[in-house]
Amino acid sequence: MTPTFIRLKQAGDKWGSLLRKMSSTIKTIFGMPNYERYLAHWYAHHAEPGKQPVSEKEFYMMALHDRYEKGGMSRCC
Amino acid sequence: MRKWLLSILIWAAVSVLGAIGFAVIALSRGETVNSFWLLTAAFCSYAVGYRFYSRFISRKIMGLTDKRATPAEVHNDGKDFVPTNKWVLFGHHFAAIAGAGPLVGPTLAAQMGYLPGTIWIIVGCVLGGAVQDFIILFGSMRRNGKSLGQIAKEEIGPVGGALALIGILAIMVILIAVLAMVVVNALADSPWATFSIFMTMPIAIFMGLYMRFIRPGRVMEGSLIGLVLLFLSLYGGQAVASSATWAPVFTFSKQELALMIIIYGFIASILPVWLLLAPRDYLSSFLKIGTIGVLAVGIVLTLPPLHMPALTKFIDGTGPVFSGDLFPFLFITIACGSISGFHALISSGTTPKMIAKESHAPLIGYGSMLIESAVAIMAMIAACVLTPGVYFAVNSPAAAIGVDVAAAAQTISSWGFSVSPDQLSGLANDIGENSVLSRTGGAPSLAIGMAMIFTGILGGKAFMAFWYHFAILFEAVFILTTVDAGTRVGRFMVQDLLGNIFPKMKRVDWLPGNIIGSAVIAAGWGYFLYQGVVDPLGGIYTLWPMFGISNQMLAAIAFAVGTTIIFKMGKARFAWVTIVPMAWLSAATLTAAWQKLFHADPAIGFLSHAAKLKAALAAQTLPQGVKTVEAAQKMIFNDQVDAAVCAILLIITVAVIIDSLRIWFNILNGKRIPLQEAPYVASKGDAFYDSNIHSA
Repeated sequence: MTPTFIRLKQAGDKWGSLLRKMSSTIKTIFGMPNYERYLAHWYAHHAEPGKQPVSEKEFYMMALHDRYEKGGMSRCC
Repeated sequence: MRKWLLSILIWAAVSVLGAIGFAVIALSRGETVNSFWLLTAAFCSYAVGYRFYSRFISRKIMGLTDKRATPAEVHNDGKDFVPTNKWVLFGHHFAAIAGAGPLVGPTLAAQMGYLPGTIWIIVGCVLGGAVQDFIILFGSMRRNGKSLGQIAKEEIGPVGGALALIGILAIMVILIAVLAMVVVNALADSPWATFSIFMTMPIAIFMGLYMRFIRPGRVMEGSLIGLVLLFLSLYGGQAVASSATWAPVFTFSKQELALMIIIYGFIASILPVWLLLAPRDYLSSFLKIGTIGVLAVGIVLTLPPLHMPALTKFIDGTGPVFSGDLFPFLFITIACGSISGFHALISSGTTPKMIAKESHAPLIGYGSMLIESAVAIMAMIAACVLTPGVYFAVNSPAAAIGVDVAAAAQTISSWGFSVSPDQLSGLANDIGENSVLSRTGGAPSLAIGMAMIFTGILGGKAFMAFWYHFAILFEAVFILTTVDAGTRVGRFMVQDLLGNIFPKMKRVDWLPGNIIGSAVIAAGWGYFLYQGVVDPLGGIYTLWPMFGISNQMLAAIAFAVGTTIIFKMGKARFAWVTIVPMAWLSAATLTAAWQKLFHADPAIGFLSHAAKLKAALAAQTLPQGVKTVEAAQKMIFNDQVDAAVCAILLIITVAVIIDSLRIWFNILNGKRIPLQEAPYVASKGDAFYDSNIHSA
């Protein structure tokens, strides 16, 4: 790896992590399903040998169900 | 010591500046006032209110302490209960409370001039609306995120709780009807707007399929694609409107649009959420925050002068936009943006489950409402940048100004607001519509104001039609999101109520129950919507006051709940914080409801209006603007239904307040009634905060 390549990769990682952070912020603000947040929580609190977090698709459907099918009001006039 | 002195100096300066702002907007007569002074008065008041009043409330009444764990810390489940960075949560809460209400109310209230509405928006918010949102958020936060209905039941009692629930269902039905009415009035006879709104359905369905099957769970990608498609459809709308073949296909009457929206609400309530409702929700959230941001930037950059006088002659209650005197009707016309009872439902929803520390609550509860109030101020500015002649041409029903530009210009000029027929047809041409007359409901008026403000920054006059339809698209998109989501929430409530008789109805995934519940709720608001559409006065004139009354009634209930909590906490000496706004709101709402029922003027009272129609029929004549006897009879029936709804709202408000008074007097007489807070759990403090806070 050339030093230029490493620098570019570092810059790319930095921008990538900034983008991920922005995307996660936007998801929280608008109440969108936030899989990264779920994974972080799962690995911090529920990780055990032999157990797996749910897939992104399953999580998406669960999150939609929680937001829209429980009867709570999520927006205003 | 010096820091302390500096703080005093700064806050004194802010207060003086705010007072100057108020003085300028209140005392100027005859010349135009710059919107800068409105913004100055507003933002200085917000700053002082936030710094001093919210702190007073949190210290003296609530006793907020970071030593006590919030529900997000106690339950921390990664889904509902998520400790969140306070600024992100502030954004979340604001995005949830922001809607069409603060944009429509001030626009209508501008008929009395900019001054009364502006004062009510600022003072009502700082001393009322923000306090309500804050105290309910606090109450819910101390009760594991319970809803307003549950808190009312536990703190006031089963009667108060049940009444509050009926009140919530009533406000939902009227809210959806009036907002749908705004969309109908904005889309009627406008192929450009209708096309771009219709396109949101296939776009949302495509997004839904994309996020479910093509790239499961990738909501940001799906939303970005949807936004691009949305702007393409906005651009395509112009081509549709100018095409001789396609324009008629997307030109609908109000009746047709009303039926389509009712069917849409019904279908959206039945379909799985991933297919239509959730993707539309994302689109509208982005559009909503984006447009409010753009409007704010536009106003700050251009600082437009206001052409509306401080007060118009319509403070006497004879205005064409809504009827009734300044008191009480101004105070129910501007609900959201000043005090909105609906916020109590949001403040006891997702937000209290996400607060990381108790000390964040003032920013989130009180602060978000200040921004909502600022949005209402911007709507007031957008309404007042129109010349009064244009404002009344757009916002008065056809029954008041006639159906052609010559008649409208003559009538409006006779009110003392000079406007020429050429100005009106020229404006219609500029915004790419056939007519600007009688486009009631606030959305077209706001869109014209926004188009004028934006045109000053970007694109010049050639872009005005685009900006106008952008503003219409954004309002219609997020109103329709309230319509579909509200229908769904209403459906759950109906299913829950019917489930007390037929237990199977409670199962929300049972299709027949789903269809029955959706049909009941869609028929409920659909009835009021259709009544508004066929009303010769244009619907908004009748429906908006009912919406205002129901919303402020809910606010009075929320204040009653808040006051009960304060009494039970042993802080009765500070209970004026909620009792004063509650008393004011109750006075305004009950007077308005009473006048809507019994006022002798048929323009105000439902029953006297019905009596007038009956008298006309008895004399073998048809009332003005009514074409058949059946139509007149239907109007009489509608008046009676509206009167009944007003009566129900009135009775519920009075009953909840009486039920709460019973508790307050018991406490004042020394009886101990326990507070139903969740048990105290000590916070792990910064150790927990640093390792669990989701900065994003």
